[in-house]
Amino acid sequence: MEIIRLNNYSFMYPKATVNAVDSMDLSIQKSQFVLVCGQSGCGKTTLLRNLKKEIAPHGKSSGEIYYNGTLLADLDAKESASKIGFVRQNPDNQIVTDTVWHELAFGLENLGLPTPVIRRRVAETAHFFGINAWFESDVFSLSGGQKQMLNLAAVMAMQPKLIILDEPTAQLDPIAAKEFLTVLRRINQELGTTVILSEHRLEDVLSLSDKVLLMKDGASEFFGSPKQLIENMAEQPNHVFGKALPSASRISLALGEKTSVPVSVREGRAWLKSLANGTNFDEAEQTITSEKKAPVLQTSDVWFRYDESFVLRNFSVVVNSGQMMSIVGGNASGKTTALSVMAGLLEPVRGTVKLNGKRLSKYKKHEIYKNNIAKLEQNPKTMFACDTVLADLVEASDNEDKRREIIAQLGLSGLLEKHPYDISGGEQQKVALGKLLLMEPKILLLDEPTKGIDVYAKDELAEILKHRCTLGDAVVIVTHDVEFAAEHSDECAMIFNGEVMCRDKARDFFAGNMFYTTSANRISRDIIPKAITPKDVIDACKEKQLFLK
Amino acid sequence: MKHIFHLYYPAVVFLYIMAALIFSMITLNPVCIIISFLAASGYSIYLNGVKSYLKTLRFVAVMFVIISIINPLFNHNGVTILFYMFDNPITLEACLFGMASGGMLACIFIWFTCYNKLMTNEKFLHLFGKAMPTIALMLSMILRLVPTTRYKIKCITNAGKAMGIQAETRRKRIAHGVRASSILLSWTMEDSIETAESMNARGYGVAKRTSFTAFKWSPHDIITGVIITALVGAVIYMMIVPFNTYVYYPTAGGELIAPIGIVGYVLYAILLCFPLLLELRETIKWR
Repeated sequence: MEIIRLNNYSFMYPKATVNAVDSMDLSIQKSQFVLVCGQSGCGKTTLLRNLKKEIAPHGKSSGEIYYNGTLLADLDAKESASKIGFVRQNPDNQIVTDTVWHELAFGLENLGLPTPVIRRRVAETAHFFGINAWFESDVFSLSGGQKQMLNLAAVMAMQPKLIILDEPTAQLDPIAAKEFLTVLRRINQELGTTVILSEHRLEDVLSLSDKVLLMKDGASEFFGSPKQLIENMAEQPNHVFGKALPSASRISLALGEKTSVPVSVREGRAWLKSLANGTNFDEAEQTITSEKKAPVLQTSDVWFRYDESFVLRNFSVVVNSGQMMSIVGGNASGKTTALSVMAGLLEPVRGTVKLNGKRLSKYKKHEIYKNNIAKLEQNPKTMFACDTVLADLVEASDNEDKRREIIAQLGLSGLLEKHPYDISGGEQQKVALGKLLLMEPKILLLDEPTKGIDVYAKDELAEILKHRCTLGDAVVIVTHDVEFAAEHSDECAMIFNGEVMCRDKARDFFAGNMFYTTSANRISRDIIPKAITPKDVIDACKEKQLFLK
Repeated sequence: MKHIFHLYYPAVVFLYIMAALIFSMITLNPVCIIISFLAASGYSIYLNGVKSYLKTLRFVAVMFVIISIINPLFNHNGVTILFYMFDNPITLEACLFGMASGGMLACIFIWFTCYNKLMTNEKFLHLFGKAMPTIALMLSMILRLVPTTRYKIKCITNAGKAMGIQAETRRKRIAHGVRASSILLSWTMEDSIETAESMNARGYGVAKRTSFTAFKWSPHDIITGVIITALVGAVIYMMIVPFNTYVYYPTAGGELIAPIGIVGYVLYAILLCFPLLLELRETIKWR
């Protein structure tokens, strides 16, 4: 049975010249788990929003969309609201009310259901999603993962037949993201609800899905099973999308596998083991971005607390010029606080922060942030004060030569006339970074810079940051993104319970961890020593002439 | 921490806390003020903890001292002149009256700390939201907006600081304030579009809204409600038939402790300590 059918559907935004969704034919069966992927700006979001009539964007459309055999436009308002659920990327903005239980009831109240029915639905939904423990909480006190779970639960309380999710895990840390996907899988498996999910992190979702839709420039480039997708990729080794595949698939595709491409870590391990067949590999060496290394920022024995309990205890790190350091750790481990202390935005209760050998508290405030430290907040929107990107850059510096240099360096020239809110998350991140770089900092502190941006934007960001390192700047990033930290940083520190538990060269750091490490490391553990990225594994195998012809 | 009284039906909780507040406001009888102060303090410590209570107490003490001093300076009623200050008589009665009103305000203040803990927003909305579901929803949305906005302001200030935007002069400070509020405005508006869409997506406006509440009457609530109502009635009766008369002007005095008056004090104390007594009974039961 079909639940969604698109007949030659096209959609164009007002004032646009090309279709955002281009002659799409699509048929989605009941109870399927469909993954929609593609590069940023390929029309994923536009397509998904067109499937939910209440939030469909304005513009010109042609062709038809059917829900359960009825034309979507003819669907009754109540039915459309309750039977098609929609969850978006930002966990915060979707929440309407102030308490968890009220949020769960919100949609049901809208439908005008009587209290006993709402009572029952709220109770069983809370039970299914395991939110009994924080049922009476204030939504503001929840973590991002909990908020997104609440959004999903609030939609599910309306008992939809189809749920559409637009990059729901992009703002979550990896553990919360996995939990979210697990629940999504349960919804699909146990309740038979149809799921349409867009994602750019394929590592965890590919194995969950029945069908994958790959979009390019608003059109469907591929629609089929995940297995077929990967086989399809094997035939086009230089496809841009290759980079977004799970590590196991990337490794095996690069080494010539064409027929039985592994997807999960477990399959990847088995595949690699049979390929390596007992070969002894050499230990990989850490490459250092820059040799010009000198300590510039140093915290020693820093303690900090907001209220009674300490968030930082004995937090000590040394930041070297010309190097990129990643501080990784779980939720509420004190990462963000640590960064604020290093930036001089929070005063430690005990201990010192030294900038170029001099205590931070001895500096005048404007000296710290002029040509010294710059910090990128998690949300780039905090930095946009003007109507165009260019005006925002001018706000940071009126030196035109400098500005031109940064615009070229970051590739911002196409964005200058746009409003900062109209560009993508990755582009916003770049503009905010550009504003900071115009202040000519020597030390860049970045809070979760890879949050919510796709693989390509991540690569661009890494290039920019590495370039700063070669210029002799120090870069510190606080992140959940283990893969990014492994691939690009020189040094890694793990913070747990407010304390730096270990600090090492990136390679040794991840090779030494068992749980907190990259997929490539999990795949190659005990087979190839100290390989932490897919590239490491591929290079090591190629060096030993291990690949399929 | 969850307390027993929290779990009672909101109307019962509201009845009790309003009785405590209103009685504390209308009586200037020193014994009543002392009873109210002790009961309010005890309950405030129980609900908010000693630390928070001491903080309140520090503020309340200052207020008490100020009012006690100010009243005799401006109010020269009363016949017992203690001394003259700037040619104005300072009377014993005005001093006593000042202390009584200071004490009364202190009580009201401490009761309010209890009110805040007891009458959470959802309880308030439950009591008054049924009649006006739209306003109830709006209130709930505003209550969500307040902490979110506070958080956003903090982020914007920090981002500004780390960009070297510092307010050294007053003029600059105003300029930065304008800048920050413009950022806040665009950010909030952008976010609220998403919230509005989320409301639409979940069928806001497709039917007449109902108002769901998590509270339900139980027989227990009714019994407790009846007891509190009876106590309130008794205390009102004792006040209308003034058994314990105490006046401040022209001379302070009156019958503070009449035999029948003691019954009134005891009833008043039982009313004010009612939740504490409930908790006590519960503690004994579960030990």
